[in-house]
Amino acid sequence: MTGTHANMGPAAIAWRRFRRHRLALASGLVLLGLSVLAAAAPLVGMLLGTAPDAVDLFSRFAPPSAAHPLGTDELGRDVLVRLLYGGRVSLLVGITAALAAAVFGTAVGLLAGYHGGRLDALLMRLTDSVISLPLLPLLIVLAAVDPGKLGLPEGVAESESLSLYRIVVIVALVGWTTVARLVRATALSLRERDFVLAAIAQGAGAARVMLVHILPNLASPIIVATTLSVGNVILLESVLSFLGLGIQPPVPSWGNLLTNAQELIWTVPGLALYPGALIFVTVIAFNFLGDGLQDAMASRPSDG
Amino acid sequence: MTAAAPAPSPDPAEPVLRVAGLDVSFAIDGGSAKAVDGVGFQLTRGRTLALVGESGCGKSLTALAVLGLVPRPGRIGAGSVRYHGRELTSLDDRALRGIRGNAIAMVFQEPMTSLNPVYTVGDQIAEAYRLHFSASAREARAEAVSMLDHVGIADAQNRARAYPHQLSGGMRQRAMIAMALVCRPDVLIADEPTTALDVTIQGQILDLILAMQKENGMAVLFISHDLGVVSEVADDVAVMYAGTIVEQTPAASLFAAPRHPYTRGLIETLPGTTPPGGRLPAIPGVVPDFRRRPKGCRFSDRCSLADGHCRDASPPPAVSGGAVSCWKADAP
Repeated sequence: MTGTHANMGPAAIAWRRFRRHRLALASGLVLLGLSVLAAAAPLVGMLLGTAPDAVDLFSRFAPPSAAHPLGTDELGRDVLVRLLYGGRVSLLVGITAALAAAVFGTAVGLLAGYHGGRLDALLMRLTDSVISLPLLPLLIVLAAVDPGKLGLPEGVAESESLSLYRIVVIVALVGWTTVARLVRATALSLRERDFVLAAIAQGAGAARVMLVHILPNLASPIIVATTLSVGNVILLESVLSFLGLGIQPPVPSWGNLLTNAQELIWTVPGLALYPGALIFVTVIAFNFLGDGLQDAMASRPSDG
Repeated sequence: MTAAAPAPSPDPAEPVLRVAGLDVSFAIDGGSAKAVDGVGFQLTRGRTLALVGESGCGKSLTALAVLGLVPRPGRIGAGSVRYHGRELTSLDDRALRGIRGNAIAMVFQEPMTSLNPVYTVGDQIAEAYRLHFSASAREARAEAVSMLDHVGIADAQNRARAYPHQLSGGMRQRAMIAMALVCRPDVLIADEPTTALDVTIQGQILDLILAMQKENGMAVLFISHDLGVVSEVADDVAVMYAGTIVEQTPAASLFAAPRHPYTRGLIETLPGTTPPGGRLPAIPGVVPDFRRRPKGCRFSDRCSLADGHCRDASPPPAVSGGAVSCWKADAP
């Protein structure tokens, strides 16, 4: 392998390996397509001459037509437009929450793994404690907190996107542990590597060694773990929204679209099927993508 | 940050680095054990001191202790390390960072693992430069390229953009040396710099180190277990055994007239001293574990000359040139 990789940087080698992973490549394209569609939701709404919360009680449960490609729901709202707007919310929540969790988890794991000793013990017991908390009851309690009573300004507390911020914060608060453990374990082994000693012998300080020398070597496990966790977060968002604790209607998300559909599942199965299928496809695509990235970045170029 | 440039020594005979009575100890249950015990030596401008010994005798630990890099849970128990008269063992980490890489630089054994796999060698050398000099990225880059050129890497401009895995072992070690020398240190510690390399490359790297030394007059502490390599580079040799220096002498007299029984044993094990076809002699036994060293002279359990006195009392360590730590030195 050395010959073929002789003139390539680490990123080029990873991309080369990734391209051979067809399922992951296809998943990446599917996710890219979904993201573009979700981003273009207002445009689609404009083309169809409707909005996600435009109620039309005269055309409830309309079958698919040129004006409503996927029909309408119980209030005559366009299903396609609502799905796309829901995708914006679900993908945004999934990606931001996973990123926030990854940043926090990386900071905790890096400090614990590099410094070791008491700081490591303290941070890892904290991680264990968070892992031991029963997730769903905790989320339900956190989701029920009235932000107005926490002293937040009224504008924020009453805003429509509050449920969105809230769910990002909640998921990040409980989701950082996986990355923290992973980063800590890898940092523990990296700090014993010669290049870390060489950097210290060159006069680099602890912060510099952690951020400049160790962190870039952690990129692949962090990227893989974060990609995999986006899928989990989207599932979690669906569960919470389904339970009525996540994104609050009328803002659509794939999770609360399902809630809406549960009473109508026998009469209008499409209303449940579409968001369900989108959640399924997105989560599975993130998992395939994560697997592909793992294979592509599994070994350092030096092993190749 | 710009650390204070190493003050040129007014007196050329004044040692650049003086190590005295250095102990490195590790806490073990119920006490502590000294892995390095009472080591003393001096480095002078333009000269190379080779620190020779078997694996586990404490030579690398001695080198790391000079830079305040003793791995946890070890610590410097006693002794002094003076760089141009400035005590290093009492400096805080911040002050030590100004010394490391800038005044005293180190080259390690394995160039593949000592270079960060995710950066190009040019970036790494430039970064080492910017740690100690305020330079723009462009200036540091130019410095890195010129340093790579200087250590004999052809097409340095392009090679600077190579990742460590794209270079051969010899080129990596050249890059490592460029990184160590980019801040113009006046002490270079080379910890087995050729051990991981092919024999043909070894000679080139040794020549490179000597050429760099001749050019800027730095003092070199050369750590090796290979007496053949040592004979090529060293001006002075300190032989280390079980944490102490047992004999310290100019290289020529060490090979001509070794005085310590351990040194003699080592030299006899070199091919060439034994007639062809003969069996190479070996020193019986192994280096004692640093937690369970014999009482008295540490070499007494492997020494054919040892008597009761040797097993009871430790000879004084060899802390300066011409000294030998043996009760039976020069005995037939």
